[in-house]
Amino acid sequence: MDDSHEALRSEVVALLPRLRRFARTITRNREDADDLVQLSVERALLRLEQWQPGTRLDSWMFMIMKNAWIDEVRARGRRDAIFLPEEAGENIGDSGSERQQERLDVHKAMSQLNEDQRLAVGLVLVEGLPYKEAAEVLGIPIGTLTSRLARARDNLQALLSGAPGVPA
Amino acid sequence: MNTSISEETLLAYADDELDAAARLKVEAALAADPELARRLEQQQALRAMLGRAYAPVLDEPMPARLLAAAQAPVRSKVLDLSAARAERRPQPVPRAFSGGWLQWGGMAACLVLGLFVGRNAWQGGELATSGAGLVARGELARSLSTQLASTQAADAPVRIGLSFVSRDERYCRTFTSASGSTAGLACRSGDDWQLRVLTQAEPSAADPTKLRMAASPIPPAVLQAAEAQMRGGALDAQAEREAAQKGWRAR
Repeated sequence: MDDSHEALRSEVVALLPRLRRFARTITRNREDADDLVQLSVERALLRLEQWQPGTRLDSWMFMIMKNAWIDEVRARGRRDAIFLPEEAGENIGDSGSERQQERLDVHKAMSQLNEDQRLAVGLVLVEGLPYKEAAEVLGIPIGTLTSRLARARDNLQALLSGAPGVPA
Repeated sequence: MNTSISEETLLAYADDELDAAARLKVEAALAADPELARRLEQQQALRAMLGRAYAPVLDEPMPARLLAAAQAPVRSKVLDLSAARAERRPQPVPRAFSGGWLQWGGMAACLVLGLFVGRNAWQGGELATSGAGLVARGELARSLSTQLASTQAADAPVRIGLSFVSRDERYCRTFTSASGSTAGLACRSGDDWQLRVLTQAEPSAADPTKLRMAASPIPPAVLQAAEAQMRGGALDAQAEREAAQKGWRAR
């Protein structure tokens, strides 16, 4: 493996925390999220030469993750229609605090969106990707992305209305 | 009040997707229309709430298997998720620790750091993980912030190479450790220097002259990354000094 690949690996390591966060926004539990990150990192390292220098490595990784996740969702849909329940006590940090409650509310609301909306929210509203980057990751026109985002926002507002932090 | 700002435009404003002219138009409308301002506030609150809900993931301990996956020699086959799950050995990943996130977050940083330190980087304390990924600390951060390529001492522990403005409008600088064993590219992100490239070279016994060069050369991988991310050319001595005086805030 040559030097530029080694440099890219270092960048992938540096991206791991964000890859995990993105995985957590689109999957329902930590196990799935970390499995997804692992699988995606392995796939990415096999095809590092496909990454275009000058483009964003995070977007490229997110695209690999998105594809892997869509495959997984389809495979599960065929195998069984049972959704894994969200892990109980997933984030027991400062249990019972307002912040903790808010986190649970958000995770629950996110789990009620459809896959397309969840991906759009994860990329733009959580990971902060510009529309153009997010649309490329998802392989859709920008207009489609923004309408998915708008619907996702309406849904989240409705699901979270009354929660502290979101004015009704 | 009826304004000409569409919902789509308002959302694009909330997502920082508008150009300056369009932003001004929205801001004028916001000033005149409390209902529009309320809707914007609602969107901003939602975005902030999502940010807060997922930010703690960044500080969770990094499972060893993920670090290993990123460092491992490339495998010939890629597993699917269910196979990965079946294959996975039980991991001593701390979970759901009551009130323990900060402590474990620190351990995650050490783990990542250990990878580099273990491979002959600095003695430690030069790198840390943050929300932005890997960031410079200690001597490295100080050198990136204050050292000028044009005036640096020949025996400085960190040598600065190129400074430039990146395509995403940040100041970036390449650096090389005195021994030449570690080099990288770091870009300003808030008050941090975020590592975009980090390379480790084994000191080459076969070619001892390489390490003895007064100015440690920038490794090709770093140079390549710098060139790929550069907008325009590298800063000259005067531009470098001015950027340092401004605290490396993007223009």
